[in-house]
Amino acid sequence: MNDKYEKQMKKGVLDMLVLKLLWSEAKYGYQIIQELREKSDDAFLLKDGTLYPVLYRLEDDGLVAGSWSEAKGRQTPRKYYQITGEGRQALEEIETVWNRIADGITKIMEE
Amino acid sequence: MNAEQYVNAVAKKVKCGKDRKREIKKQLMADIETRMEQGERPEEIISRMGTAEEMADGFNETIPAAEQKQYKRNKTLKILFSIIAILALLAAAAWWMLPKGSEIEESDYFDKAQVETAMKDAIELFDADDYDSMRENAIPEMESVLNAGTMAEVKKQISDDWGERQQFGTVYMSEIEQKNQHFAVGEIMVVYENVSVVYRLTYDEEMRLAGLYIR
Repeated sequence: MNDKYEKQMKKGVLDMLVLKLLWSEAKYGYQIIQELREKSDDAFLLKDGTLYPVLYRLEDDGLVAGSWSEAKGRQTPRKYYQITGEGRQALEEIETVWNRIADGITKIMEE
Repeated sequence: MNAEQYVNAVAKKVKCGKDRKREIKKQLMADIETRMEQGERPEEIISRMGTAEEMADGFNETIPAAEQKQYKRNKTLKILFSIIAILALLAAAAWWMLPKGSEIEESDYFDKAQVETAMKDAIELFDADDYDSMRENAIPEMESVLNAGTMAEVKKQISDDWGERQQFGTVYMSEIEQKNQHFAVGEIMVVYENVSVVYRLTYDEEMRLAGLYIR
């Protein structure tokens, strides 16, 4: 039961968190997964099957742009995602919505 | 399942066009290789990524409905084309196997007069019970039936006593092509003292007797 609610709640905020992580610099998929885990104290343990579709959707919507890195020595080429101008604007709007919802939720839950 | 098999299994289940599939495969492989560079074993990586179905489901949830619809349409068309191709092959095979008749006068393989003479010669040998001579000019498959015992039974089924041959009737001939082989088929009514018998004789391209039917 808890697992089901946890998945639903996380799913709703993933776009926002991914955009936030890409705000300062471009990152590749695995790096995003690791950062989500570390920065959330293991609250967000994502599988690639969950992250990549999010990245693809954001890319299709023009909120992030992906580009392949050149192979450096023995290092495998990686696809880096960077937030676009449209993505930054969207994140600001999403954050506003999130803050309003979070406030509302807090008020209800504190009753 | 190794990394490549896993990635292929995911791509197979994702409902999208070729370009996106290629991109998904490339990205997943790159991701697996990155983790391997960091010391993880492929089995651990795959286990953490989830089953190919789970991974594909995740992708399918985000693929636009229009693209998924196009994918389904293409898949259906692919199946349809495969069925059509198989049917066409079967039809071609059936056509190749089915006997196809044509006028013997237009044949590149047979001479009408030669076939008629061969038919009458064969009937004369048949009437004379000279099956050894008939076998000499027949295909190997005919050897088992062209013998006195079998032929006596055949003759008996028509009549116990045919009597002497009186005359040959008109010969009708045509060429039959089957499985790229050409045959001359001729039918002739022969009048005997007590019965009239219709012979149908078949010759191959070397004018060897390839079939004998009597009624």
